[in-house]
Amino acid sequence: MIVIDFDSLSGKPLACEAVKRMVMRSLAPRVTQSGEKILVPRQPIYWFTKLNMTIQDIGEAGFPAIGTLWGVKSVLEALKEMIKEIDMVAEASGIGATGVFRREVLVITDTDLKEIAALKATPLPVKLMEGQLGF
Amino acid sequence: MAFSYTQISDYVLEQLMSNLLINTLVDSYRYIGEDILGIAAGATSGYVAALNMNNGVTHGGKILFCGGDQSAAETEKYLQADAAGTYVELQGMDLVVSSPYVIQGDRVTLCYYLDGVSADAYMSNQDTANSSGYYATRAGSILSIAVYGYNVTFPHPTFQGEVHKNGSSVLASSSLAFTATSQEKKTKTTQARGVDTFAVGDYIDGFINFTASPGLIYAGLTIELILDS
Repeated sequence: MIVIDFDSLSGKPLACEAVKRMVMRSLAPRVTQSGEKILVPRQPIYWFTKLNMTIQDIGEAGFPAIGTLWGVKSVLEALKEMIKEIDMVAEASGIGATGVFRREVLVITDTDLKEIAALKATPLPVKLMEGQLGF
Repeated sequence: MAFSYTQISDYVLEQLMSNLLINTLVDSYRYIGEDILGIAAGATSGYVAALNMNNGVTHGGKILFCGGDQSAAETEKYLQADAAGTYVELQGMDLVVSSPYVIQGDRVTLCYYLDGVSADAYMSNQDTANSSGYYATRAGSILSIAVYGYNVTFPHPTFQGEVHKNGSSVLASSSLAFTATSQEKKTKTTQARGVDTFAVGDYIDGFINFTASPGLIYAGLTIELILDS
């Protein structure tokens, strides 16, 4: 799963290109029955922003307009909500709640690093700064 | 607590299922949509753009109407295209169109034949001036005229067929010019729907118009009409 804090990327061209490459790498090419070439996400992609935006706005900002957009107060709160819902379904399914992400979550943000790391999302969140891209 | 599949968010599934299962699931969306349900690709607006139906063998697509017994409906009640895709058949039921709606496109053909004519004449009554013909009970358009002529005697005539509406020519064929007795000639003229229309109460008739050297001919004339209602 890829979680992208859109607000932390605003005005950072290098970060924009890196995120674009990463998202595109997570897509699988497919050909429809009618011969149309499309890209299918191989894992969920979530964009978080406090701004009033649509997924089309994400595309106009230079990013791939692929994934689901959430308007949230903070990425940390969003991730906590996710874990809460995952645990709810897990318990209902007899798997059991754990309070952590069970699979790899790649969080792209420049804030809340320590607290996000405490959520046991692996690998550890990547901090994106201009000129200092960790991937 | 029970969940239906559609209530569970992608990130929840992703966390609780394997990557293999998720990728299979994502691929299955499109497979189910296009290959099984026949929903045309590109329908991302929430509307189904088209349904592609073709079993490739016995018919080109079939909608069954089940009255509680699907096996009976398979053979008794259905809307089906033939394998070549040339027609659609409704089987086992009447097609009902409620008032005031109509099936547009039904056609009527007016066929006339005069066993010997040597002067301008309406085909319905052989009168030279007074039109009769089809007294339209429905509105529609004139689609075509087809004319046949057989030159019986000298002089060799030239004539054209005409479609008259209320006594005036609205559509004419090209001329048939004879040069010998026992000659046969024919011609046809078509036009699009809506070019020459008629209303309820109009008279539509065929007319033989000699343009040169009237001589005895046998004449056939066919008018094709398409009805609006």
